[in-house]
Amino acid sequence: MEHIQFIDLTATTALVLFLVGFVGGMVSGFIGSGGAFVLTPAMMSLGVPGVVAVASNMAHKFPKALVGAYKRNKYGQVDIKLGVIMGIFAEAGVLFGKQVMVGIREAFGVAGTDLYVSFVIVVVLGIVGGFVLRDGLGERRGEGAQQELKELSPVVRWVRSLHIPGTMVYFRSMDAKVSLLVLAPLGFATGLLAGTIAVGGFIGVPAMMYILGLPALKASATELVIAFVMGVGGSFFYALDGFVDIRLSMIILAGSLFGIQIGTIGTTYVKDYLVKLVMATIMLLVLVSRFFYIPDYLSELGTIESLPEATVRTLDGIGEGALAFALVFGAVMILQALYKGMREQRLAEAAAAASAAPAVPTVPEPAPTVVAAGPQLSPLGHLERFLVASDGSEFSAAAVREAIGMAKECGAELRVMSLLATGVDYAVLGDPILMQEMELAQAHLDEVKGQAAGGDRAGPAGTATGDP
Amino acid sequence: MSAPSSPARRSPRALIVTLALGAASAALYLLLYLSSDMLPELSATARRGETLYALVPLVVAMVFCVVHGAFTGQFCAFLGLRAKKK
Repeated sequence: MEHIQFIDLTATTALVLFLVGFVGGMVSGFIGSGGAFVLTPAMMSLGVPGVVAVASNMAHKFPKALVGAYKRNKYGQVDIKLGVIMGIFAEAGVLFGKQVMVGIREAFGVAGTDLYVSFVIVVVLGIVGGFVLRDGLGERRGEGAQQELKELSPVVRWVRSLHIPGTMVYFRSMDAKVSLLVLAPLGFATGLLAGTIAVGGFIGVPAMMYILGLPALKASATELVIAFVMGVGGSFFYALDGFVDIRLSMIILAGSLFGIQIGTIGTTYVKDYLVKLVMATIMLLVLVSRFFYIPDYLSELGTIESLPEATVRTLDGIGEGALAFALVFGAVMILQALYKGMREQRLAEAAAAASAAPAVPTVPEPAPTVVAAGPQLSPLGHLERFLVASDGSEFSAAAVREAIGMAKECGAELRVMSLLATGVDYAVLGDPILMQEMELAQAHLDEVKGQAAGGDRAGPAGTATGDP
Repeated sequence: MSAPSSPARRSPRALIVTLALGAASAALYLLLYLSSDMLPELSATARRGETLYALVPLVVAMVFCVVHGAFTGQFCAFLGLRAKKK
């Protein structure tokens, strides 16, 4: 059996891996997937054997999935029971996928696994990228995003109507019982794909949406539980055979965790169709990139005539170029969207602040002789106090502006409040984080107090904390 | 709650937290660098049937993710990178 060799880790390789992780993370945060469909081919292009790339990717992904699942569970988006059950079946898929990989490696060597992984990447990215591109172009033409089904599709109705004694389990997210015999093949297929190219979500999420009838948000959140369960098991199984190069995993993680933050923030500044178009373009470019490596693998396996060295170099060069272009394209699109969006947001906030300014008189006006006798907004009574809540956004800035104006008009007292959500997270993160948030909120309230200090009675400004 | 836009985000306290988490993360990566020759050996040991060594990558991944994840989140917040307010 051919011995698996980990690559030599030079400073240049480490830097490239960090950058690949950074861009892969950005892409993954931006499009909401694990990003392994970029990272696995990128690692292979650096000379990492396919099986090591898949195993190392899986090891860097499962902790991220755990953190993501924990966060989204707070919003009630995760069906833990469904995720764990599907994850256990997925585990079997990962194990099977790993055995296939080991079998191919024993029979055909590293070139065999490289060819297998590349072939699956080309097919899967071709199908998924095509669908995403079609969706994105449709939305751009104004055909609207695919609506979540108000009525259950015939497939979902059929799945939920199945009653196989002894196998039925109730799931809160669907408010229905589903047979374990339905979940088994779905979970298995998810794990099989994850064990082959380190991306399981391409099967898991659509399966939960279109076969089980879960809303998209719950499906993608529950997928994180599946990714964690199968990621832990998959990494362990691969590690048993010594395929996990944890050095590569951690360098990629270093860049990826920076990238994810930027990508996730970037999505809040762009339209949905742009996210889909960027996703589709990257997928198809990665597909093209991998396609150019296939002749070399076939040549190494003796399936086709041996290729001249110059041809191999040219094909590899084109493949590397296409991959580099995909990564640079993704990075530029995301950073541009983030920069443009943040600049527009700053301008909008500045405009909101500027339009609030006239409400605070800069030149002292003739003071009313009796403050409480000022004009009133209500014919039914005298308004003495106003309460306004503000979170610092431009929308609440408009509310604050109006409240200041109304309080001035009535000679009334104005109270401003801000609310901080607290709970388990803050217990985990510790008091300093909460204190920091409270300082920020208090600073904002002081700003409002300053705005109002133009002759009216600015009342107390305070923050409140609470577990939502 | 959406964080109010304020220079207070770059308070000395935020700087200290960012630097502390950054130092912890850097220390872990220094440790990784110093162990970079030993880690492939551990993989080889697991391959030879020492099952417990297969747990090393899982533990390493978890610890790095928690520490480095906390640092990157704090770092981006310190730089003022934030989601759009809806």
